[in-house]
Amino acid sequence: MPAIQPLNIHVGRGDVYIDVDVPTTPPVPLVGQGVPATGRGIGATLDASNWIYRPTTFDIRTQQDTGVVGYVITEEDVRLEFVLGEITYQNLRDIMIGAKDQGSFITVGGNIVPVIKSVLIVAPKRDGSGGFIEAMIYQAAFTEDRTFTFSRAGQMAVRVVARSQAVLTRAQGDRQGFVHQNVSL
Amino acid sequence: MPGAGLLPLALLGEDAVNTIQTHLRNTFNMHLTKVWNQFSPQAGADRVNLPLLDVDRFYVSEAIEPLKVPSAFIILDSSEHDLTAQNVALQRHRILVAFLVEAMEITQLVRTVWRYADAAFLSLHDAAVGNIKILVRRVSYSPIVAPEGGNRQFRKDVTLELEVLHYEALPLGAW
Repeated sequence: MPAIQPLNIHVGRGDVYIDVDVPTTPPVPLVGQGVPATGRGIGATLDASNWIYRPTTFDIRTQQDTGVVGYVITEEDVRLEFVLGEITYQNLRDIMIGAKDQGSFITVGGNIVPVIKSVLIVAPKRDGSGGFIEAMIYQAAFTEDRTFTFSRAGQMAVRVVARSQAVLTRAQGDRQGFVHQNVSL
Repeated sequence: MPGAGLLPLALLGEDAVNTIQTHLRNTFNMHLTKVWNQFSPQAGADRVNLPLLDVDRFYVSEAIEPLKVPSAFIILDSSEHDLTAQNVALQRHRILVAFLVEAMEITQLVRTVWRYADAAFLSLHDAAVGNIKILVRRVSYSPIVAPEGGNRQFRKDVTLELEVLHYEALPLGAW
């Protein structure tokens, strides 16, 4: 039986930041109690946040065997999903792909070029080390639907999907984002 | 926030009760006056007096025998933590608000209780006060009772069951 270290099983919230300076080499440096020096925290999130790596592969087969003998990655779709709780001007401006910034509110309709921003999750580790898990997308467009639910008996919770676009100036293998399992202050 | 200069509390029920107590002290009599203006100026048997409540008649416990009635009781029954909230405290409290009324004539007692309930509903339902949102889920009317000791006053109460949504920021780094 392998050595088991249950403290490596992560349980805990993630705080979401938008427009954090993208590090030349990950991770993003943290200050204070685990806050990036740049960017903007979006505040309360009302459900689990997800960093999703979704590769598409092409199967390589041969006549000599029934099994797949190799895979080639043909697409990589990286997403960061979270549920926004705080309805503020800054959050509305940043989470809608077609939003037009009107200074104190936003409008939609007619924009075809998305605003691109970085997105970062910072999650305190539970092992007592004071470290953090970071998961980042270097350049994200805030795609998909935005549903604003007005209800007398429950809070408005807006699910946000941020999809990565590759940064071609970065090295191959490091063009979309990263996950770092232990970032110290 | 529970109060200026204080750290946010982990359990928010007491803060919610305090907020509702203050809210009722500030608004209940105003709504009771509205209800009185709607019903009581009309002549006839439906007319009942609706005494205003002094600010010291809003208790935060049910285990008390009030010296004066009508009185109000704000009772914290339970708090449920919504764990879908990640970095904010979201708690749902079940809070009971009861009004105890006394009268010698039973029909007037019943109508008085109904109208206290009207005023309480107007004061509490859909009210957003600070970091809490109040919803009235149920209104329950008690049977009429005759207190012991030769007192000829009959008593009846009404209880409003509140669902209270409570949102508070957490201290940085907590949980």
